[in-house]
Amino acid sequence: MLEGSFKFNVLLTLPALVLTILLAVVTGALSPNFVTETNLANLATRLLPLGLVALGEAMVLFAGRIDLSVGSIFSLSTAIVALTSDTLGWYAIPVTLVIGIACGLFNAAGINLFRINPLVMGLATAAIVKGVTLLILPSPGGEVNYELYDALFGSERLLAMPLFLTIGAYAALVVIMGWTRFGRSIYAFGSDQRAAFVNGVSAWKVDLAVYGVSGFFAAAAGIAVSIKILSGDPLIGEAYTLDAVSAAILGGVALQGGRGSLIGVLLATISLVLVNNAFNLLDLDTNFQNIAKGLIFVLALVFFMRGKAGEA
Amino acid sequence: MNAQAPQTPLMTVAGISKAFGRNTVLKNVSFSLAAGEVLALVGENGAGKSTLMNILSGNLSYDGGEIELEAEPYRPAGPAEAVRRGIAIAHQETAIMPDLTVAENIYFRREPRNRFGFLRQRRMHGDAAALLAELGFAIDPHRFGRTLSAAERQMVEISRALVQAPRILVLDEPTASLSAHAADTVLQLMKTLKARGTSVIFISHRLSEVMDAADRVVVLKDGEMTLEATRGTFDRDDLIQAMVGRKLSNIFPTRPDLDASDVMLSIEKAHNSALPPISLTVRRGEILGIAGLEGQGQKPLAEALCGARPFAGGTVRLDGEPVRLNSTAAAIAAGIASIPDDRKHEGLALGLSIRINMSLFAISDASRFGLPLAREREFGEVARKRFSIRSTDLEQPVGELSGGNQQKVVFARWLARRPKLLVLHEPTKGIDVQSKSEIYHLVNELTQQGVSVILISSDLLELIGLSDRILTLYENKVTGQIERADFSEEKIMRLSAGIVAEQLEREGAEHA
Amino acid sequence: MTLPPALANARPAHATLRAMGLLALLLIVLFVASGKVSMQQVLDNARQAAPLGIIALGQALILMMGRLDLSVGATAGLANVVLASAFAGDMSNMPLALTLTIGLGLLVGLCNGLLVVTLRIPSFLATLATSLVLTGGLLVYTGGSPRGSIPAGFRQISEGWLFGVIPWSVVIWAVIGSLLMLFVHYTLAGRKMLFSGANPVAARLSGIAAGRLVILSFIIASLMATLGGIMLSAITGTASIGIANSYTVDTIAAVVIGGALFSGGVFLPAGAAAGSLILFFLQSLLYVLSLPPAARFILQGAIIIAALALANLKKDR
Repeated sequence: MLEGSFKFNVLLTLPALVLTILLAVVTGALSPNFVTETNLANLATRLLPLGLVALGEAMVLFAGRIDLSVGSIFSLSTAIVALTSDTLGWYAIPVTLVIGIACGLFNAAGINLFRINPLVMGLATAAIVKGVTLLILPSPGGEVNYELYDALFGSERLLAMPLFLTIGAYAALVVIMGWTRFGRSIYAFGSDQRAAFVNGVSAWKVDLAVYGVSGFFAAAAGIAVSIKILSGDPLIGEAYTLDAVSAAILGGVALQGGRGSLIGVLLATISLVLVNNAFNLLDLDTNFQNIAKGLIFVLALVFFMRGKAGEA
Repeated sequence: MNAQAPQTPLMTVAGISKAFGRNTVLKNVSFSLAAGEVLALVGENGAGKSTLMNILSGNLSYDGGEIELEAEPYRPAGPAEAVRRGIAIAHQETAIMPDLTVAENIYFRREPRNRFGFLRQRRMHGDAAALLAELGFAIDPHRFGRTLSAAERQMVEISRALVQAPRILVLDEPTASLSAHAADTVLQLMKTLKARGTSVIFISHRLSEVMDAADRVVVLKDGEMTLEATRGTFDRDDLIQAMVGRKLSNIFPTRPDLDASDVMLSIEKAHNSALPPISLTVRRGEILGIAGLEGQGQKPLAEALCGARPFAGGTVRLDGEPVRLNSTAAAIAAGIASIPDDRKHEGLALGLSIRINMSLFAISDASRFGLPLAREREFGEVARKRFSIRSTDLEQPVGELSGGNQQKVVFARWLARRPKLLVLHEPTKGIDVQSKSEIYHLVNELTQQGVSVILISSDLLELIGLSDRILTLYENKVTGQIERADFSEEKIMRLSAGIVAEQLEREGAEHA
Repeated sequence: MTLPPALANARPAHATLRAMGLLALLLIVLFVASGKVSMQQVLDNARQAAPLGIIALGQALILMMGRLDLSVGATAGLANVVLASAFAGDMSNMPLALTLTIGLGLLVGLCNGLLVVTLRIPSFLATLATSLVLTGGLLVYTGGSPRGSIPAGFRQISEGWLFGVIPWSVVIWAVIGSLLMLFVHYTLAGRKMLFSGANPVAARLSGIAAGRLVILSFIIASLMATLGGIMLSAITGTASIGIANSYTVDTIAAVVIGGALFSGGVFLPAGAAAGSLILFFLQSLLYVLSLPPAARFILQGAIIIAALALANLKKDR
C-alpha cells in the first residue's frame, strides 16, 4: 500500500498528527465540555468549511502554485446561495459550484494566457470577485431555504452530514492524489515544472485542474456556511484564505510544491478548529484569535521551511 | 554488423534549418539513420547540436527542410508525439522530478495500473529494480530524485528513455557526468540496443567514444554540417578539424614559459562541509586548469574561493598574506575575482543596462555615498572598447546581448577591481568561437601582468590550450596533476575518471 | 544625442511615459465628461490621493527588490489608530504622537524584513501574517472602537495649501518621491539595492550584502505606509478600524500601472505616482457615474490583470 513518494508524503503529516492530539488532550483536560457530543458535533460543523477550503488550497499548493482568491470565492458563494435558494431550491447548489469552478478557471487562464504571477493573479481575482459579491449583496442578508439547513445540519450528532462530507471529500482526493497518474502529474509539476513539462505534463491542464478544484471546494465551503447561517455575507470568507494556506503548511504541504499529503491537511485543519474551540470553551478574548492565528502561521512557516531557499 | 545496409533508412533528415529571430542556429543539415545504426553527433558548445536534438524530440519545430521517419513526414507537435513515433530522448540537462522516487521518475506517465486505473506502486518499484539491474545501474529505486548525484540522474534519465521502447534513442552527452566504469556501461548498452535493432543518436565531446562506438558521425559547426562520414572513413583529426574549423593555434594564445616565479595562491588542507581537505598552489601569472567530470567538486571549490561557501578550516595565503575568505566581500577585498559558471543566474542582472552591470566595482571603489555618474559613463565607454562588446550603446539591457558579449560584461565588471587571482568557472560555456578566442587572449594578457588564474572547465580543448598545469578532481578530491609537456586528452580523462596516477603509471608500464 | 550622465540616469522609462500618457488621457476624459474640471479640482484630487501615492512609493521599492508587502494597509491602519489616540485631539502631544507612530512603523518594517531575510519566509506570507497580527492587535488594543482624534492644527498637512496654490500633501508626496528617486538612482547604496533586486544571487557573489538591503527596503516600505497612514489621518481627522485595508491591493495596482515588474529590478517612482493618480481618478469617476462602491474592487482587479497582461505580452514580442 505505502510505497515510494506516497509513503514519504504520509510521513510528512506526523507533526500535524502530534499537534492535533496535543491540542485535543490539552483542551479536553482544561474543559469538561470538550468531550461532549454537542461540542464534537459543533467541531465537525466548523471543520466542514475550513476543511473544504484547505483541501482546494492544498491541491493548488501541490502543483507549486497558490490561490489567494479562495476567500472571495467563498463569500461570493454565500451570497449566491442566499439570493437564489428561494427560487432555485436545491439547484442553487450546483449553480454555485459551477460559478466557483469558473472563478478557478479564470485564475488558471490569467496565469497561462498572460503569464501573470499566480500570487498576484489570485489577488486580482479576489478583488474582482469581492466587487461582484458586494454588487449583488452589499451587506449580510438574503435568505436560505430552511430545507437545506435541515438536510445538512439537522442532526446534532457527531456522525452526521458535515463529518461525512468532509471525510468523503478528503478520501476521494487522497485516492486521486496518491493512486492515479493524474495525481502523480500534479505532484511532478509542483516538484519541478520544467522536468514535468519535458516529460509531457502540460501547465495549462494542471492549472485548470487544480484551480478548478480549488474554486469548486471554496464554493462548496461557502454553500455550507450560508446554509449554516441561513443567509449570505459578502465578507465572511476573507479570513479563510490565510487559514487555508496556514492549514496546508501546518499539514506538511511544501509551499514550493511537490510535497505533502491531504491527510496532513485534514489533521492541521482539525487542529486549527480545535484552537478556535479552545478559545470559546476557555472563554478567552476572541480578539486574540487573529494574533494567535498569525503566530501559528509564522511558526508553521519557520518550522517547515527552515533551511530552504526563501523566495521563489 | 556494419555490412547490413538497409534499402530505406529509418530516418532521413533533409536540409533542415532553424532560426531564432534573426539568429540562424541550424543551416541545411542533412543525414540519414538506418535501423540499428549508432550515429554520433559532434560539435562544440553552441554548434547547434542541442537545437537539432530538441527538434527530434519535439520540443522545437523546424523552419525549412524535411524530416522523414519510416518514410512518413515527421514534424512532431510536442514531446508526446515524438514518443508516439518512437523517438525517446535522454537529456543531458536531466528532467528528474526531485520529489518523486527513482522508480516513479522512470515510469512517469507510464506507471503500471490495476484494472481500476489505480497505480501499482509496489509492482512499479519492483520493475524498476529489475530494469536498473539489467542495465547495470546500481541505484535503489526507492531513492528520491533530489538525492541523486549528477551521474545517477543521468542513469535514471537513460532508463526512462528505454522504458518507452523507442525505435530511435537519442542520448545527449550521456557520459559527460559518468565515471569511467559507468561510461563503459552506457557504451555497452548502446551496443546491446544496436544488436536489438534500435538506432541510437548520441552526442558526445569525447572523441575516443565517438571513434569507438559510432557507425556514422555528423559534425556541426556554427549550425552547419561540416562532416558526415561512416565508420572507417574518418579519423580523430578530421573530427577536430570539422568541429573547430580552424587550427587550434589561431584560437588559443601562445603561452609563454613561466619562469620559476613566486607563489600567488597557496591553499593548505582547506575544507568545508562540501569539500574534503584540499591543497593546491598557483604561481604568479600561472593558469591552473581544473579538470573533472561534472559535479566532482568544481562548484564547491569555486564557491569556497569566492567566499560564497567559505572554507571552514585550513590555511589560504594570497600573495604571501594569510587571508580568510569568510564572505564574498572578504574574498573580493583580498583580491579575488570570480566569474561564475552560470552567468545568467549568478553573474548578470539581465534586465538592467550594460552600464549598471559593468560598473558595479568601478563606482564603489570611486565613491562611498553618491554615484560618480560621469566617471561611470567614462569607465563604461572605455571598457566597451577594450573588451570589444558589441551593443547599440551602454544603456542596452544586458539580456539582449549574445552570450559572448554578456560574458565580456562580467569580465569588465570584475577586472575593474584589478584582481590578483581570477577564478574562472566554465568561462566560455555556450559562447561563439570568436568571443571565446577574445576571452582566451584577454586572460593570457592578464597573466602577463602578473594575475594568476584558476580555470575550472569541462572543455578539454580549452584546458589544454590555455593552462600551464592541470589538476584533476574526482569525488571532490584532487586525483592528479599534469604538467604542460604531458597534456593529453587521454590522460586528463583517465585521471578525471577516478583512476589515480599510480595506477596509470602501472598500466603504462604493463603496456611497455 | 547623448545626454549628460546625470540626466541620462533620470531619463523616464517608457513605462512611466505610458502611465503619464494614460493619466493625461483620463484627465481629458474627465474634462469632457463633466465640462467643469479646473486645475484646482485636479490638485484637490491629488491631495486626497497623496496617502495612496506615498504608500505606493514604498510598495514600488519592495517590488524593485523582487518582493511583495501585503502588510502596508494594516501598517497604515496602525498608524491611523496610534496617531489619533496619542494625539487625543491636542496639538501639544505632537512630538510624542509622531515619534510613537513612526517608531512603531519602523518596528513593523524591521519585523517584516527579519521574517523574510533571517527566517526565509516568502515575503507575501510573512507580510500577510504581520498584517493579521497587526489587525488583531488593533482590535485588542481598541476593543473595536478606537478613540482619539487629530487636532485641526496637524490636519493642515493635508487640508492646507502652500501659498494657496498647491496642497501641502502634494508637496510632501513629491518631496518623498524625489528623495527615494535620488536614493535609488544617485547613491551607491541605492544602486546596490537596485542590482540586488534584479538578481540577488549575482549581487551576493559581487560582495553586496543583499539581505541587509532587503531588510532596509521593508523598513522603508513600512515607513512609507506609516507616513501614508498619517496623511490619511490628517484627511479623516479620526481613527477607525480597517480604514486603510484596501491600500494593500490598491498600491499593487498603482505600481503595476506605473510599470513595475514582479521579477524585480525596476524602480519607477514617477510611474508609481501616475499609477496612484490614475487609480484615484478612476475611482472618483466611478463615484461621478454613481456606480456602487463595490465597482472599485472590480476595477482594482481588472487593472492589475490588464496592466500585467500588457507588460507580459509586450515582452514576448
